[in-house]
Amino acid sequence: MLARNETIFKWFLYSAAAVLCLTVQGAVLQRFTLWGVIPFVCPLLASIPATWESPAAGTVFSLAVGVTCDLLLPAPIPCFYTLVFPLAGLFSSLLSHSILRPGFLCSLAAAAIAFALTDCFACFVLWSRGKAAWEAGAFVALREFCVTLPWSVPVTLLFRAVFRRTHPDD
Amino acid sequence: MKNFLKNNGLWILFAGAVISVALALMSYFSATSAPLVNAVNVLVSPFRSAYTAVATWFNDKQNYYRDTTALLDENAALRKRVAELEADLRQAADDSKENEILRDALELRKQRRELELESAMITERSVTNWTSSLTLNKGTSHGVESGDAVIDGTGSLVGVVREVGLNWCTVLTVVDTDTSLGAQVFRTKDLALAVGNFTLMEEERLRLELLPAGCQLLTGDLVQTSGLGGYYPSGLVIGTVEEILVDDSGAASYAILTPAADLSSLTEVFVIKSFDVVT
Repeated sequence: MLARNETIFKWFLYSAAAVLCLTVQGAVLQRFTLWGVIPFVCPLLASIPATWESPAAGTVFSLAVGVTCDLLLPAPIPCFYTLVFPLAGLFSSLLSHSILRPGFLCSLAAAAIAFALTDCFACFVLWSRGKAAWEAGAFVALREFCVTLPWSVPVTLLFRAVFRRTHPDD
Repeated sequence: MKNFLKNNGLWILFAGAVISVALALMSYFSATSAPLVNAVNVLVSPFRSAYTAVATWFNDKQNYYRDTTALLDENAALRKRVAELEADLRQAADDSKENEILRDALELRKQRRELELESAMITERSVTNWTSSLTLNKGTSHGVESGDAVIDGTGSLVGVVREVGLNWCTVLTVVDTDTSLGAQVFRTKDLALAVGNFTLMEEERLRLELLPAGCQLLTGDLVQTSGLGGYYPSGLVIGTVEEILVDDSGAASYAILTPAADLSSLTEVFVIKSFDVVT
Protein backbone atom coordinates (compact mmCIF):
# COMPACT_ATOMS: atom_id res chain seq x y z
CA MET A 1 0.00 0.00 0.00
CA LEU A 2 1.48 3.35 -1.06
CA ALA A 3 1.65 6.40 1.17
CA ARG A 4 -0.59 9.33 0.25
CA ASN A 5 2.17 11.46 -1.23
CA GLU A 6 3.41 8.49 -3.26
CA THR A 7 -0.12 7.91 -4.56
CA ILE A 8 -0.45 11.51 -5.66
CA PHE A 9 2.98 11.39 -7.31
CA LYS A 10 1.97 8.18 -9.11
CA TRP A 11 -1.21 9.72 -10.55
CA PHE A 12 0.71 12.84 -11.46
CA LEU A 13 3.11 10.68 -13.50
CA TYR A 14 0.20 8.82 -15.12
CA SER A 15 -1.40 12.16 -16.04
CA ALA A 16 1.86 13.48 -17.46
CA ALA A 17 2.21 10.34 -19.58
CA ALA A 18 -1.37 10.77 -20.82
CA VAL A 19 -0.71 14.42 -21.68
CA LEU A 20 2.40 13.36 -23.61
CA CYS A 21 0.35 10.87 -25.62
CA LEU A 22 -2.35 13.48 -26.30
CA THR A 23 0.35 15.89 -27.48
CA VAL A 24 1.71 13.28 -29.89
CA GLN A 25 -1.86 12.65 -31.08
CA GLY A 26 -2.48 16.36 -31.71
CA ALA A 27 0.91 17.22 -33.18
CA VAL A 28 1.68 14.15 -35.26
CA LEU A 29 -0.84 11.33 -35.49
CA GLN A 30 -3.94 13.24 -36.62
CA ARG A 31 -2.01 14.70 -39.56
CA PHE A 32 -1.45 11.32 -41.17
CA THR A 33 -4.04 9.11 -42.78
CA LEU A 34 -3.52 5.36 -43.04
CA TRP A 35 -6.09 3.15 -44.71
CA GLY A 36 -8.40 6.17 -44.83
CA VAL A 37 -8.39 6.87 -41.07
CA ILE A 38 -6.18 8.66 -38.56
CA PRO A 39 -4.63 6.80 -35.61
CA PHE A 40 -6.61 7.63 -32.46
CA VAL A 41 -4.82 6.81 -29.20
CA CYS A 42 -7.40 8.25 -26.76
CA PRO A 43 -9.15 4.90 -26.13
CA LEU A 44 -5.71 3.43 -25.39
CA LEU A 45 -5.20 6.07 -22.70
CA ALA A 46 -8.52 5.09 -21.14
CA SER A 47 -7.79 1.36 -21.08
CA ILE A 48 -4.08 0.60 -20.80
CA PRO A 49 -3.30 2.52 -17.58
CA ALA A 50 -6.32 0.87 -15.96
CA THR A 51 -4.76 -2.58 -16.50
CA TRP A 52 -1.99 -1.65 -14.10
CA GLU A 53 -4.26 -0.38 -11.33
CA SER A 54 -7.26 -1.43 -9.27
CA PRO A 55 -10.75 -1.27 -10.86
CA ALA A 56 -11.83 1.79 -8.84
CA ALA A 57 -8.68 3.79 -9.43
CA GLY A 58 -8.47 2.75 -13.09
CA THR A 59 -12.08 3.79 -13.65
CA VAL A 60 -11.54 7.21 -12.11
CA PHE A 61 -8.42 7.77 -14.23
CA SER A 62 -10.37 6.76 -17.34
CA LEU A 63 -13.11 9.18 -16.31
CA ALA A 64 -10.52 11.97 -16.14
CA VAL A 65 -9.24 11.01 -19.60
CA GLY A 66 -12.81 11.06 -20.88
CA VAL A 67 -13.46 14.52 -19.44
CA THR A 68 -10.23 15.80 -21.01
CA CYS A 69 -11.20 14.38 -24.40
CA ASP A 70 -14.66 15.97 -24.15
CA LEU A 71 -12.99 19.32 -23.50
CA LEU A 72 -10.65 19.05 -26.48
CA LEU A 73 -12.38 16.94 -29.13
CA PRO A 74 -15.63 17.35 -31.06
CA ALA A 75 -18.17 14.64 -30.26
CA PRO A 76 -21.71 13.82 -31.39
CA ILE A 77 -23.12 14.43 -27.91
CA PRO A 78 -21.81 16.26 -24.82
CA CYS A 79 -19.90 13.98 -22.44
CA PHE A 80 -19.53 11.30 -25.11
CA TYR A 81 -16.07 10.21 -23.93
CA THR A 82 -16.93 10.86 -20.27
CA LEU A 83 -19.69 8.27 -20.56
CA VAL A 84 -17.82 5.55 -22.41
CA PHE A 85 -14.20 5.75 -21.22
CA PRO A 86 -14.91 4.85 -17.56
CA LEU A 87 -16.58 1.66 -18.78
CA ALA A 88 -13.54 0.89 -20.89
CA GLY A 89 -11.28 1.51 -17.90
CA LEU A 90 -13.38 -0.66 -15.63
CA PHE A 91 -13.49 -3.62 -18.03
CA SER A 92 -9.78 -3.29 -18.76
CA SER A 93 -8.93 -3.35 -15.07
CA LEU A 94 -11.18 -6.33 -14.41
CA LEU A 95 -9.55 -8.12 -17.35
CA SER A 96 -6.07 -7.59 -15.92
CA HIS A 97 -7.15 -8.72 -12.45
CA SER A 98 -8.94 -11.89 -13.54
CA ILE A 99 -7.80 -13.23 -16.90
CA LEU A 100 -4.60 -11.71 -18.27
CA ARG A 101 -1.66 -10.30 -16.38
CA PRO A 102 -0.79 -6.69 -17.25
CA GLY A 103 1.47 -6.62 -20.25
CA PHE A 104 1.39 -6.35 -24.02
CA LEU A 105 -1.23 -9.05 -24.54
CA CYS A 106 -3.47 -7.59 -21.87
CA SER A 107 -3.03 -4.12 -23.41
CA LEU A 108 -4.06 -5.47 -26.81
CA ALA A 109 -7.20 -6.99 -25.33
CA ALA A 110 -7.96 -3.85 -23.32
CA ALA A 111 -7.50 -1.71 -26.44
CA ALA A 112 -9.92 -3.95 -28.31
CA ILE A 113 -12.48 -3.52 -25.51
CA ALA A 114 -12.03 0.25 -25.47
CA PHE A 115 -12.41 0.62 -29.22
CA ALA A 116 -15.39 -1.74 -29.31
CA LEU A 117 -17.18 0.26 -26.61
CA THR A 118 -16.31 3.68 -28.05
CA ASP A 119 -17.15 2.89 -31.65
CA CYS A 120 -20.31 0.94 -30.80
CA PHE A 121 -21.49 3.90 -28.77
CA ALA A 122 -20.72 6.21 -31.71
CA CYS A 123 -22.77 3.96 -34.02
CA PHE A 124 -25.57 3.89 -31.45
CA VAL A 125 -25.62 7.70 -31.26
CA LEU A 126 -25.83 7.89 -35.05
CA TRP A 127 -28.71 5.40 -35.04
CA SER A 128 -30.54 7.28 -32.29
CA ARG A 129 -30.44 10.43 -34.43
CA GLY A 130 -31.91 8.68 -37.43
CA LYS A 131 -28.59 8.49 -39.31
CA ALA A 132 -27.88 4.80 -38.83
CA ALA A 133 -24.69 3.62 -40.50
CA TRP A 134 -23.86 0.32 -38.82
CA GLU A 135 -21.97 -1.21 -41.72
CA ALA A 136 -19.95 1.90 -42.52
CA GLY A 137 -19.35 2.47 -38.80
CA ALA A 138 -18.11 -1.09 -38.30
CA PHE A 139 -15.67 -0.69 -41.20
CA VAL A 140 -14.37 2.62 -39.81
CA ALA A 141 -14.07 1.03 -36.36
CA LEU A 142 -12.10 -1.91 -37.72
CA ARG A 143 -9.69 0.29 -39.65
CA GLU A 144 -9.31 2.71 -36.75
CA PHE A 145 -8.45 -0.17 -34.41
CA CYS A 146 -5.96 -1.76 -36.83
CA VAL A 147 -4.21 1.53 -37.54
CA THR A 148 -4.00 2.47 -33.84
CA LEU A 149 -3.03 -0.95 -32.53
CA PRO A 150 0.74 -0.60 -33.18
CA TRP A 151 0.69 2.45 -30.91
CA SER A 152 -0.43 0.27 -28.00
CA VAL A 153 3.19 -0.94 -27.74
CA PRO A 154 4.82 2.41 -26.90
CA VAL A 155 1.81 3.38 -24.78
CA THR A 156 2.14 0.13 -22.80
CA LEU A 157 5.87 0.67 -22.37
CA LEU A 158 5.28 4.21 -21.16
CA PHE A 159 2.65 3.32 -18.57
CA ARG A 160 4.55 0.21 -17.49
CA ALA A 161 7.55 2.45 -16.83
CA VAL A 162 5.36 4.72 -14.72
CA PHE A 163 3.99 1.73 -12.79
CA ARG A 164 7.45 0.32 -12.12
CA ARG A 165 8.74 3.72 -11.08
CA THR A 166 5.95 4.11 -8.52
CA HIS A 167 5.71 0.45 -7.41
CA PRO A 168 9.35 -0.57 -6.93
CA ASP A 169 8.33 -3.54 -4.79
CA ASP A 170 5.90 -5.05 -7.35
CA MET B 1 -1.95 23.01 2.19
CA LYS B 2 0.49 20.17 1.53
CA ASN B 3 -1.19 17.98 4.12
CA PHE B 4 -4.61 18.85 2.73
CA LEU B 5 -3.55 17.72 -0.74
CA LYS B 6 -1.93 14.57 0.61
CA ASN B 7 -5.10 13.58 2.44
CA ASN B 8 -7.68 14.63 -0.14
CA GLY B 9 -5.90 14.58 -3.49
CA LEU B 10 -8.00 11.81 -5.03
CA TRP B 11 -11.29 13.30 -3.82
CA ILE B 12 -10.28 16.62 -5.37
CA LEU B 13 -9.64 14.83 -8.67
CA PHE B 14 -13.04 13.12 -8.47
CA ALA B 15 -14.81 16.37 -7.62
CA GLY B 16 -13.04 18.05 -10.51
CA ALA B 17 -14.28 15.36 -12.86
CA VAL B 18 -17.90 15.80 -11.65
CA ILE B 19 -17.68 19.57 -12.05
CA SER B 20 -16.26 19.12 -15.53
CA VAL B 21 -19.19 16.93 -16.53
CA ALA B 22 -21.60 19.57 -15.26
CA LEU B 23 -19.81 22.30 -17.17
CA ALA B 24 -19.79 20.20 -20.31
CA LEU B 25 -23.57 19.75 -20.02
CA MET B 26 -23.94 23.52 -19.66
CA SER B 27 -22.53 24.00 -23.13
CA TYR B 28 -25.52 22.12 -24.50
CA PHE B 29 -27.76 25.03 -23.50
CA SER B 30 -25.38 27.84 -24.30
CA ALA B 31 -24.70 29.74 -27.52
CA THR B 32 -20.98 29.73 -26.75
CA SER B 33 -18.85 27.01 -25.31
CA ALA B 34 -18.86 26.21 -21.60
CA PRO B 35 -16.29 28.10 -19.48
CA LEU B 36 -14.07 25.09 -18.89
CA VAL B 37 -14.14 24.02 -22.56
CA ASN B 38 -13.35 27.60 -23.56
CA ALA B 39 -10.49 27.83 -21.07
CA VAL B 40 -8.91 24.54 -22.12
CA ASN B 41 -9.14 25.37 -25.82
CA VAL B 42 -7.72 28.87 -25.26
CA LEU B 43 -4.76 27.21 -23.51
CA VAL B 44 -4.32 24.69 -26.31
CA SER B 45 -4.74 27.21 -29.17
CA PRO B 46 -1.07 28.32 -29.32
CA PHE B 47 0.08 24.71 -29.50
CA ARG B 48 -2.37 23.96 -32.32
CA SER B 49 -1.08 26.98 -34.25
CA ALA B 50 2.52 25.88 -33.66
CA TYR B 51 1.92 22.30 -34.83
CA THR B 52 0.09 23.56 -37.94
CA ALA B 53 2.85 26.04 -38.74
CA VAL B 54 5.46 23.27 -38.62
CA ALA B 55 3.33 20.91 -40.71
CA THR B 56 2.66 23.68 -43.27
CA TRP B 57 6.39 24.39 -43.54
CA PHE B 58 7.08 20.73 -44.32
CA ASN B 59 4.24 20.63 -46.87
CA ASP B 60 5.54 23.75 -48.59
CA LYS B 61 9.00 22.20 -48.89
CA GLN B 62 7.47 19.05 -50.32
CA ASN B 63 5.34 20.93 -52.85
CA TYR B 64 8.38 22.95 -53.97
CA TYR B 65 9.83 19.83 -55.58
CA ARG B 66 6.68 18.77 -57.44
CA ASP B 67 6.90 17.71 -61.08
CA THR B 68 7.35 20.80 -63.29
CA THR B 69 5.61 19.16 -66.26
CA ALA B 70 2.42 18.62 -64.28
CA LEU B 71 2.49 22.25 -63.19
CA LEU B 72 2.93 23.45 -66.79
CA ASP B 73 -0.03 21.33 -67.94
CA GLU B 74 -2.15 22.63 -65.10
CA ASN B 75 -1.15 26.18 -65.96
CA ALA B 76 -2.21 25.75 -69.59
CA ALA B 77 -5.57 24.30 -68.59
CA LEU B 78 -6.16 27.14 -66.14
CA ARG B 79 -5.31 29.77 -68.75
CA LYS B 80 -7.92 28.27 -71.07
CA ARG B 81 -10.48 28.23 -68.28
CA VAL B 82 -9.71 31.86 -67.40
CA ALA B 83 -10.33 32.86 -71.01
CA GLU B 84 -13.70 31.09 -70.98
CA LEU B 85 -14.64 32.72 -67.69
CA GLU B 86 -13.65 36.17 -68.95
CA ALA B 87 -15.99 35.70 -71.91
CA ASP B 88 -18.79 34.65 -69.52
CA LEU B 89 -18.03 37.66 -67.35
CA ARG B 90 -18.37 40.08 -70.26
CA GLN B 91 -21.73 38.53 -71.11
CA ALA B 92 -22.77 38.67 -67.46
CA ALA B 93 -21.82 42.35 -67.26
CA ASP B 94 -24.12 43.10 -70.22
CA ASP B 95 -26.92 41.03 -68.65
CA SER B 96 -26.46 42.82 -65.32
CA LYS B 97 -26.77 46.25 -66.98
CA GLU B 98 -29.92 45.15 -68.75
CA ASN B 99 -31.28 43.70 -65.49
CA GLU B 100 -30.69 47.01 -63.70
CA ILE B 101 -32.48 48.97 -66.43
CA LEU B 102 -35.46 46.62 -66.29
CA ARG B 103 -35.57 46.68 -62.45
CA ASP B 104 -35.58 50.48 -62.53
CA ALA B 105 -38.35 50.45 -65.10
CA LEU B 106 -40.46 48.16 -62.91
CA GLU B 107 -39.47 50.11 -59.76
CA LEU B 108 -38.08 46.97 -58.03
CA ARG B 109 -35.67 47.04 -55.06
CA LYS B 110 -32.00 47.16 -55.95
CA GLN B 111 -30.17 43.85 -55.63
CA ARG B 112 -27.38 43.86 -53.12
CA ARG B 113 -25.10 41.38 -51.52
CA GLU B 114 -23.12 42.53 -48.52
CA LEU B 115 -21.15 40.05 -46.48
CA GLU B 116 -19.10 40.96 -43.43
CA LEU B 117 -16.17 38.53 -43.50
CA GLU B 118 -13.54 37.60 -40.94
CA SER B 119 -10.54 35.73 -42.29
CA ALA B 120 -9.29 32.80 -40.23
CA MET B 121 -6.53 30.22 -40.45
CA ILE B 122 -7.22 26.53 -39.94
CA THR B 123 -5.24 25.32 -36.91
CA GLU B 124 -6.60 21.80 -36.75
CA ARG B 125 -8.45 19.41 -39.05
CA SER B 126 -10.65 16.42 -38.21
CA VAL B 127 -9.33 15.05 -34.96
CA THR B 128 -11.51 11.93 -34.94
CA ASN B 129 -12.66 9.52 -37.63
CA TRP B 130 -16.32 10.09 -36.78
CA THR B 131 -16.60 13.81 -37.50
CA SER B 132 -15.46 16.17 -40.24
CA SER B 133 -14.49 19.39 -38.55
CA LEU B 134 -12.00 22.24 -38.67
CA THR B 135 -10.68 24.39 -35.84
CA LEU B 136 -10.03 28.04 -36.65
CA ASN B 137 -8.00 30.66 -34.83
CA LYS B 138 -10.83 33.21 -34.48
CA GLY B 139 -13.58 33.35 -31.86
CA THR B 140 -16.00 35.60 -29.95
CA SER B 141 -13.33 38.26 -29.53
CA HIS B 142 -13.41 38.66 -33.34
CA GLY B 143 -17.18 38.68 -33.62
CA VAL B 144 -17.60 35.03 -34.62
CA GLU B 145 -20.81 33.36 -33.41
CA SER B 146 -22.18 29.85 -33.40
CA GLY B 147 -24.14 29.23 -36.61
CA ASP B 148 -22.02 31.53 -38.83
CA ALA B 149 -21.36 30.19 -42.31
CA VAL B 150 -17.74 29.69 -43.41
CA ILE B 151 -16.56 29.99 -47.01
CA ASP B 152 -13.28 29.60 -48.86
CA GLY B 153 -11.52 32.11 -51.07
CA THR B 154 -13.75 31.32 -54.05
CA GLY B 155 -16.97 31.82 -52.08
CA SER B 156 -17.77 28.11 -51.81
CA LEU B 157 -19.35 26.94 -48.57
CA VAL B 158 -16.92 25.13 -46.28
CA GLY B 159 -19.19 24.58 -43.28
CA VAL B 160 -20.94 26.14 -40.30
CA VAL B 161 -19.51 27.26 -36.96
CA ARG B 162 -20.70 24.83 -34.30
CA GLU B 163 -18.84 25.86 -31.17
CA VAL B 164 -17.06 29.09 -30.45
CA GLY B 165 -14.70 30.25 -27.71
CA LEU B 166 -12.68 33.35 -27.03
CA ASN B 167 -10.06 32.90 -29.78
CA TRP B 168 -11.09 29.61 -31.39
CA CYS B 169 -14.07 28.04 -33.06
CA THR B 170 -14.99 24.62 -34.38
CA VAL B 171 -16.52 24.38 -37.85
CA LEU B 172 -18.50 21.36 -39.00
CA THR B 173 -17.81 20.95 -42.70
CA VAL B 174 -20.54 20.43 -45.29
CA VAL B 175 -19.85 16.68 -45.36
CA ASP B 176 -20.20 16.13 -41.61
CA THR B 177 -23.02 13.86 -40.47
CA ASP B 178 -24.69 16.67 -38.53
CA THR B 179 -24.80 19.09 -41.46
CA SER B 180 -28.20 20.08 -42.81
CA LEU B 181 -28.54 23.03 -45.20
CA GLY B 182 -31.37 24.54 -47.25
CA ALA B 183 -30.24 24.17 -50.85
CA GLN B 184 -31.31 25.25 -54.31
CA VAL B 185 -30.36 23.87 -57.71
CA PHE B 186 -28.96 26.84 -59.66
CA ARG B 187 -30.26 25.76 -63.08
CA THR B 188 -33.81 24.70 -62.18
CA LYS B 189 -34.29 26.76 -58.96
CA ASP B 190 -35.66 23.61 -57.26
CA LEU B 191 -35.39 23.63 -53.47
CA ALA B 192 -33.93 20.68 -51.58
CA LEU B 193 -31.97 19.78 -48.46
CA ALA B 194 -28.22 19.14 -48.43
CA VAL B 195 -27.35 16.75 -45.62
CA GLY B 196 -24.22 15.00 -44.46
CA ASN B 197 -24.10 11.22 -44.41
CA PHE B 198 -21.63 9.07 -42.47
CA THR B 199 -21.15 6.62 -45.32
CA LEU B 200 -20.31 9.43 -47.74
CA MET B 201 -18.35 11.55 -45.28
CA GLU B 202 -15.16 9.57 -45.76
CA GLU B 203 -15.37 10.13 -49.53
CA GLU B 204 -15.97 13.85 -48.86
CA ARG B 205 -19.43 13.76 -50.41
CA LEU B 206 -22.91 14.66 -49.17
CA ARG B 207 -26.51 14.00 -50.14
CA LEU B 208 -29.14 16.23 -51.67
CA GLU B 209 -32.52 15.06 -50.38
CA LEU B 210 -36.18 16.12 -50.38
CA LEU B 211 -36.07 16.86 -54.08
CA PRO B 212 -39.44 17.92 -55.48
CA ALA B 213 -41.36 15.42 -57.59
CA GLY B 214 -40.51 15.80 -61.23
CA CYS B 215 -37.17 17.46 -60.51
CA GLN B 216 -34.96 17.13 -63.60
CA LEU B 217 -31.48 17.06 -62.14
CA LEU B 218 -28.46 16.56 -64.36
CA THR B 219 -24.94 15.49 -63.45
CA GLY B 220 -22.85 18.61 -63.06
CA ASP B 221 -25.72 20.83 -61.85
CA LEU B 222 -24.58 23.48 -59.41
CA VAL B 223 -26.20 23.47 -55.96
CA GLN B 224 -26.10 26.54 -53.73
CA THR B 225 -27.60 27.65 -50.43
CA SER B 226 -31.21 28.76 -50.72
CA GLY B 227 -31.08 31.41 -48.01
CA LEU B 228 -34.53 30.40 -46.78
CA GLY B 229 -35.04 31.05 -43.08
CA GLY B 230 -32.32 33.68 -43.06
CA TYR B 231 -29.75 31.47 -41.34
CA TYR B 232 -27.19 31.62 -44.14
CA PRO B 233 -26.81 33.89 -47.15
CA SER B 234 -28.25 32.58 -50.39
CA GLY B 235 -26.01 31.83 -53.32
CA LEU B 236 -23.13 30.16 -51.50
CA VAL B 237 -22.01 27.27 -53.69
CA ILE B 238 -22.31 23.95 -51.86
CA GLY B 239 -21.21 21.64 -54.67
CA THR B 240 -22.10 19.92 -57.91
CA VAL B 241 -24.28 16.91 -58.62
CA GLU B 242 -22.16 13.81 -59.14
CA GLU B 243 -24.77 11.10 -59.26
CA ILE B 244 -28.56 10.79 -59.10
CA LEU B 245 -29.98 7.77 -57.31
CA VAL B 246 -33.29 6.39 -56.06
CA ASP B 247 -33.69 5.69 -52.35
CA ASP B 248 -34.51 2.28 -50.87
CA SER B 249 -38.26 2.89 -51.01
CA GLY B 250 -38.08 3.59 -54.74
CA ALA B 251 -40.43 6.54 -54.33
CA ALA B 252 -37.98 9.39 -54.08
CA SER B 253 -34.70 10.29 -55.69
CA TYR B 254 -31.68 11.91 -54.17
CA ALA B 255 -28.33 13.12 -55.46
CA ILE B 256 -24.74 12.75 -54.38
CA LEU B 257 -22.96 16.09 -54.27
CA THR B 258 -19.25 16.81 -54.60
CA PRO B 259 -18.41 19.83 -52.43
CA ALA B 260 -17.05 22.82 -54.31
CA ALA B 261 -14.56 23.59 -51.54
CA ASP B 262 -11.46 21.38 -51.42
CA LEU B 263 -11.77 20.51 -47.73
CA SER B 264 -8.52 18.58 -47.45
CA SER B 265 -6.22 21.34 -48.73
CA LEU B 266 -7.74 24.47 -47.20
CA THR B 267 -5.49 26.65 -45.07
CA GLU B 268 -7.43 29.91 -44.90
CA VAL B 269 -11.19 30.46 -44.75
CA PHE B 270 -13.61 33.33 -44.19
CA VAL B 271 -16.33 33.45 -41.56
CA ILE B 272 -19.48 35.34 -42.58
CA LYS B 273 -20.23 37.32 -39.44
CA SER B 274 -23.26 39.10 -40.89
CA PHE B 275 -24.94 39.44 -44.26
CA ASP B 276 -27.49 41.52 -46.13
CA VAL B 277 -28.70 39.90 -49.33
CA VAL B 278 -31.51 41.23 -51.49
CA THR B 279 -32.29 39.26 -54.63
